[in-house]
Amino acid sequence: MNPVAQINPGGRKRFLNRARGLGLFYLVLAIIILVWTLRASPPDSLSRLGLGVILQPPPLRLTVPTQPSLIVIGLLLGLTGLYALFCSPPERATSMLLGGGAVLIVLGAIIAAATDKSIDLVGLIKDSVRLATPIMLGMLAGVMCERCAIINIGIEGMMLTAAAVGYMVSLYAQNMWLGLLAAILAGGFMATLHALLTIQLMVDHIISGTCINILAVGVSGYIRAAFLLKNPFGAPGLFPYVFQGTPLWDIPILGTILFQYQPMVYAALVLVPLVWFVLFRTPWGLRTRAVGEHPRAADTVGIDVFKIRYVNVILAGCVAGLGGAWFSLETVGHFDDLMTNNRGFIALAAMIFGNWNPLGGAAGALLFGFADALNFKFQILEVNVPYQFIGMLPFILTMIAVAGVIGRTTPPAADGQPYRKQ
Amino acid sequence: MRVGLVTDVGRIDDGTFNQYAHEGIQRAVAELGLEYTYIETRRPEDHEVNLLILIEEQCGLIITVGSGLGKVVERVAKEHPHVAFVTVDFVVQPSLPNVLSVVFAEDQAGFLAGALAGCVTKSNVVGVVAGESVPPVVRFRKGFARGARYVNPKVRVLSEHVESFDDPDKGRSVALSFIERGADVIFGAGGRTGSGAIRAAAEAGAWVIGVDQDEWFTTFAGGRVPGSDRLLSSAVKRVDVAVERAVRDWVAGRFGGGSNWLGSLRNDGIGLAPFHAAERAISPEIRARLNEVSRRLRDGTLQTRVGPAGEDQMETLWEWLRVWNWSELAVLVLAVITALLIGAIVIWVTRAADLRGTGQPWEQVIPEASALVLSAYGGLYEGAIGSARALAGSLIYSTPYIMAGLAVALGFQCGLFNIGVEGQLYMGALCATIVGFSVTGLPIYIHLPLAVAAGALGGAIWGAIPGALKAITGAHEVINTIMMNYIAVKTVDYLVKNPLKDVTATLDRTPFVAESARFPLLVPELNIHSAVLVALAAIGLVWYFLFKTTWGFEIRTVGANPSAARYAGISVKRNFVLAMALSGMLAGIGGLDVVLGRPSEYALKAAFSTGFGFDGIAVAMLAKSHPLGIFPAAFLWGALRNGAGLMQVRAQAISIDLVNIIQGLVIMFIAADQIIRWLYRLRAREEKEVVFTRGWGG
Repeated sequence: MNPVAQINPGGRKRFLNRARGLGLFYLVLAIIILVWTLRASPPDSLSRLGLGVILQPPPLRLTVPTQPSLIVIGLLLGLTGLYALFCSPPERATSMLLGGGAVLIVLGAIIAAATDKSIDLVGLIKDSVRLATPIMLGMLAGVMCERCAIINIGIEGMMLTAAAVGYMVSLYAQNMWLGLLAAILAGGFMATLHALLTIQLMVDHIISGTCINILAVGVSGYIRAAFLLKNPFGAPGLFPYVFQGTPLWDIPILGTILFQYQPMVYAALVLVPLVWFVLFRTPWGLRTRAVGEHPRAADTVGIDVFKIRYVNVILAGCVAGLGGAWFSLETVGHFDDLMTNNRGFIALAAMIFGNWNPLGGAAGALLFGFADALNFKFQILEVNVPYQFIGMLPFILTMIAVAGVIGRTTPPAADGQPYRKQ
Repeated sequence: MRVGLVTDVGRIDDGTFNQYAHEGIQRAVAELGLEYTYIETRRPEDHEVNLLILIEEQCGLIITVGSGLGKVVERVAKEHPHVAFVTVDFVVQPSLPNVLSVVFAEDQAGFLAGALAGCVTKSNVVGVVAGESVPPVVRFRKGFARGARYVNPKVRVLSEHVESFDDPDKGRSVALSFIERGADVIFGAGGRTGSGAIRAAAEAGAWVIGVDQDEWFTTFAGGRVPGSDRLLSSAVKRVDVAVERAVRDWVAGRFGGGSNWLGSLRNDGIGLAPFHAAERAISPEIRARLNEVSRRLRDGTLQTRVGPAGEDQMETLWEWLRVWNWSELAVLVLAVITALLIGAIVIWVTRAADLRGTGQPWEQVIPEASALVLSAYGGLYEGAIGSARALAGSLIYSTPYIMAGLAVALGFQCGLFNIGVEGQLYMGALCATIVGFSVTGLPIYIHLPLAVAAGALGGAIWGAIPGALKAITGAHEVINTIMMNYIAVKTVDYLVKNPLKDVTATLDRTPFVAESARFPLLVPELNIHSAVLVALAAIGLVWYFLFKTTWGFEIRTVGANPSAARYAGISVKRNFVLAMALSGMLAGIGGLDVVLGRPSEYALKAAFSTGFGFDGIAVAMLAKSHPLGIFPAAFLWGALRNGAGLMQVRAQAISIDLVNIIQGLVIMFIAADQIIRWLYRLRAREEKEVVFTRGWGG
């Protein structure tokens, strides 16, 4: 009846489909890499890639000639691009090309950065995982909400509140684990507010999220000024390393990459597959997704739409609370104003990047965590790339992803729409 | 000569406008001895094929019914200039010489129906079950609500669009839910959906009003259907008269192609049907009242204030004040007061907990904590508006809030959520600053406007990008504007710390802008600068633009209902880009106001904004997205920020973050006004319009 509703810009057959867009992107990038290498990279430099800090000499590391390696990488990337552009590979192969190309680009960036220097590759991976943790947890919070059609741009505020409350409790109770519990509950509390506003009172989801974010800045800043600045106790310290003192800790390379983290990292790494499993392999997940796609139909077959939404949103807040604890209790050891530093919004970007799937989102989070880690390394190595531009990368990539040139992202169909019981 | 009819989805005997058109043609055809063919459309995809079949069949005049067919006719009519077309309920834009558009003043018919309902209701609750939210139906619905309220200010109007004309069951359930909520008159405006609604309502014992044609004869089968005695009347569109006239004119060689024919009260194109069995329920007073309303609508002394696309027409301040829903204002004021009260409780509890912690007895704690509340709010008041200096400070503080609020409000008016004001502000400030310090030797009357133009352009481009991305790829503007905020902040951060850094400065900042690019100080001792005037002028200009120009009208139409705008021939995509660009421009000017206006700045620092963009969302909401509401809202915001400093001085234990809490609560209470209405026992809002966004999918 309503022809306008049926116009679907994604449904048309477009010349610039996913594979061609990807191919074009890689081809352009390959040309840039080749031109830059031939013009700017000194011909007989060496790049040293460390494989973990090992005390006994000789240090374990890979040494490669910079210019030839970059040329090889550029050519490989160009071939990938040409293949994607002209051979119209099937969907699954395109995804693999996307992943393979990304690895090539990352490798190229590292080799170029390590020109005449040494970069600790294993340390870089470890830092990436560590820095990806809050993004990953925030991403999970976003996925859990949006899969049942509640848009959540308040993740930042939930994490910030959790960081402040968690630290406050751990300070006054002098117990980190009570602090962690408080952080989880604080995240859950802010999420409950979001749920009440969006589900019960049918407030616009984005307005509610904005409101959560502003409230969080106020509440956390107020807590800091009123309760944290003049604290009568010593700082409670940081979460311990889980595997320190066990033999796993000392395994070369693997030990560093897998076993030298604090608890929130493992919480994120466990939660990612868990949330994926619950969403895609259990009745609860099926109901959640049904509510996200077509709440009316879900209601008709007897699913309690409100209950599904409440539970998902509040649990999502608890997960965001873990992300908050990462800041104050796992990494910094005290609370600073605005310490979440927009990780909540980057988490949103990771969620979109991963197409509302926890596994894809985790890959996005790792990529953004890697950009963070690379940023620190470049600053230390004084690589001549402004750190602001690397910091921009997640946002630019997200815009490209959303624009649909390299793979269209599709949110749950009912995302952001209020639901009224009949 | 052969005449053809293509129906909207539905049958020729659907009891509404398809049938009416059919009857009108039949009358003319029988009298003039013409041949006549009709096709019933079963699915919207078939519209074009059906038209082409009739052209094949050598029809010289083709009549199409329903706005759904309009766009198809626009295309087909261009390729077949020798065939005459009549589009009922759709205006072809731009007009074509072989197409006559027939439209009706549904708002007037709805207004009359509403007046009837408002007179008859005992419970003071009436309901509209409307079909798809296309312009004609929206005009019926809004006209009905206005008419009911016009004769009976106490009346509450419930309304809902069922997004189909062919869903009697849904119409039925909506009507029954209205009756459950106390409605005793139901107006069904939406094909078979509406008919289903009024049949069910009539059976349940409510008064009902039909639509399009006299439903006494169709839906109620001339009184043989149970509940027929509950049918008050029908808001009639004389599609038959219009179509019959068009056929006669065409035969006589006077076909009015290229023009529109508007059926209104004045030419009896619309009206109320007879009361039939409900005759006795309509007292002479009610008849007199209806006659008066009808006469005043006819001679134009009474306006329905519903525009062609179903939008509200409330241009002048006076009208705006008159129809202003004062309980809305009460909600705004109470939201602010409640937020302040909660802030007071927070202060009190903090202080009390503190004092109890040091072991003081309650009799000391209570007065001391209360005193702190008073001194904190005393400081807030004095710092905000307590002296000339404080007032001036608040005014200066509110300048960027005015611009940011206008920017967000303009987006809201187009149905867009511009969270990117922060980034556009940075870009505006950046461009203006570059022009401000790099160009020298110009007089102020050239240099300052040049810098302002550069800033406006920077903001406009930064805003237009997400607008264009939404128009081209459908990417949601909220995601893109959030992302572009960070890109802008980081770009400015890089530029200010590297290529644009003033090497002589210890701080990371650009060189100072030239004397000639600064806003002159109006009152130097109070630092009031002339950018304040720019912001005030912007309020007026945005108001004029939105409510007095065609572009503004189109933007508001797209915002109110994009699919209705599309039906009315307005390019939705173009307006997305335009609104985002203008919104970004306003934001950009807000940014440069700070840099070129404040003596404490005059140069761009890396993080010069204190979240103006997010505050702009709050200001726009507080102002209900109306430009004229922006000033008080922005001033409140500026005053709170400005007063926070003295509050902290007076009440040492209290952090200025309290103001953030208060502001967050204000937004929450305005967004969820049910909380305030429940707290203060205010009456519920009558019709909850769909708010701002429609999910990521766009």
